Amino acid sequence: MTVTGLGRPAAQRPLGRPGLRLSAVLPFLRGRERISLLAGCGMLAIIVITAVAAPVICRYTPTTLNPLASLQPPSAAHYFGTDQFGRDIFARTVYSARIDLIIAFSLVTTAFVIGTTVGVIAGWVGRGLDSVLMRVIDVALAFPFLVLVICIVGLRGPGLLSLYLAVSIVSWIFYARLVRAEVRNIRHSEYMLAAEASDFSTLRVLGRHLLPNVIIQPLVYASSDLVYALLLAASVSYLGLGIQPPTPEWGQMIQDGSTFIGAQWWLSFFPGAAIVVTAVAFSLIGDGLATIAREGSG
Amino acid sequence: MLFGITLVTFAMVHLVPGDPARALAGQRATPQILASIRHQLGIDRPLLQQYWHFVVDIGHGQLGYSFLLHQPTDTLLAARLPTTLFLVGYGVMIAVVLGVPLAMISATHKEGWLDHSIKGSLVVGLGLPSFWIGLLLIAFLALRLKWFPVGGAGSGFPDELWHLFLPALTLALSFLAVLVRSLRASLIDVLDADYVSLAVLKGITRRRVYVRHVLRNALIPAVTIVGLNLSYLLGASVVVESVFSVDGIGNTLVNAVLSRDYQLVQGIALVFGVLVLMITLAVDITQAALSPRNELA
Repeated sequence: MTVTGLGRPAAQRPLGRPGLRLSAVLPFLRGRERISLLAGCGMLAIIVITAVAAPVICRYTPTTLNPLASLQPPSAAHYFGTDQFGRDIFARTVYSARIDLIIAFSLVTTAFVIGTTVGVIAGWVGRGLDSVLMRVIDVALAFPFLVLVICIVGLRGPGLLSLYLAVSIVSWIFYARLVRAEVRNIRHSEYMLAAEASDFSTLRVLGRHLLPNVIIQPLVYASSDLVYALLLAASVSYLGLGIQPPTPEWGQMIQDGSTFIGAQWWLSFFPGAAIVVTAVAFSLIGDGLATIAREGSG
Repeated sequence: MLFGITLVTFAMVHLVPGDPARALAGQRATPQILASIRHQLGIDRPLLQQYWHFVVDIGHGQLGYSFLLHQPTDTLLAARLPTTLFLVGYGVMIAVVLGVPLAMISATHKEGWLDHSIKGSLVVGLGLPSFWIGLLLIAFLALRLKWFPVGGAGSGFPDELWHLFLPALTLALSFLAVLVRSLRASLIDVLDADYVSLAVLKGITRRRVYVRHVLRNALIPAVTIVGLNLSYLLGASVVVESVFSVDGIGNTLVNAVLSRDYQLVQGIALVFGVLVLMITLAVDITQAALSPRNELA
């Protein structure tokens, strides 16, 4: 009933909560492929700590104006230099990490929860509901994701809530498609038939027997989806449709600095580098989890 | 499918809250002015009737009128669509030219240091924001070295090729990681295939095996990967066009959205949807044509 192949007999596990657990994963945290996961987690930990400890680390606040120190190159006083208003780029980059990380995580979590729920229901019920879902997916996939998001954000008016809504309207589809396929793969397996034949309620069958067996794929997908969510949010903000000033955000900072890109490169360079570092951390975690999932099931 | 696309574009513009009339007339417009604009736009009619008009207009090749640029949307898009298509095609070409050799090296040196360094750079490549890369390219190659123009699309084929090189390179770089990753995986499959072993056993030189047997079979997955990601590439082209202020439909979309030109937004969204649909079909056909199995038939 539990996820097999993790190297421990099922009876030793606490009852009722099958799935990936840290103790089950730890033996896999060895070898060259695992370095990726550990390195990613380490990088992410540093980024998160930096973001949380921003007030301690930064000597300036991200919004303090200082016209006397505008457009200064990186120095000991301003590690990443200052922008045209004399705001400290280092402080702005570090504070941006807060909002960007929260956006990336909440976008992915929403898509994951909605998509997985819809996928499980559609895959389980099948028939009419399933074919309606597949049509919806086909049509939604016909539009470039970014185009849909830009349109919805633009029509609702720029802002964080619009961005969040626009992405949520579309992104669950990828999860629903993935989970639906997984559900259809296992729904006629013997243990599912057994669970169904017993007197369990549908909720219990789905939640306890089906879900743990289909959840790994969307989880792995979600970890690599973080990269896309991060880049998407930054792109939309770069276009002036996401986070509005004065809240610092990486994409918006790059846009602000783009007029100075010729001589004052540091305005746009550092927030971009921060995006890349964060994205690499997410990618490494995603790759690591994907490897573990492959070997765990194989 | 086409019906679905028209429905989504229509629903997007009409069901998303926000009053187009208010956006056009500004905050201080009187109710009379708002009502007359609504009437002019036809948005005071019932939704179903509006949808019907929308579809009938499409049937006549009309996509509405752009208030921002004072032109019918269809003529506007007809003039700007080729630039976008050219940019995406150019970008794909650069990505394939860079990506196929990289994937070949990576797959033939599987788990060697070359493979690992390529894989390592791909992880970084996956996280590169296209607008940032574009800006850095502008800063370095266009402003400092003055090798390329800063923006615009140019006119005439050689000029376009030169003007759009940086945008196309940016697009290619944002796609390269995805391409090389998937291509490497399928190349490794091909290298493990029996017919490759047979070719090696027959004593055919390594180079010949790679070019004749492996590369040819790897092109099919390459086309598939490009096809699967065209929707993504078109999306990325929106940002890239905006960075380089190239007058394609992507940049037009951003401007239309920023100035709330609803009919233009609707028209462009529709064009993007139809475009992806057509390209998907074209990829299916190309794939069938490239498959060596079809030579027998």
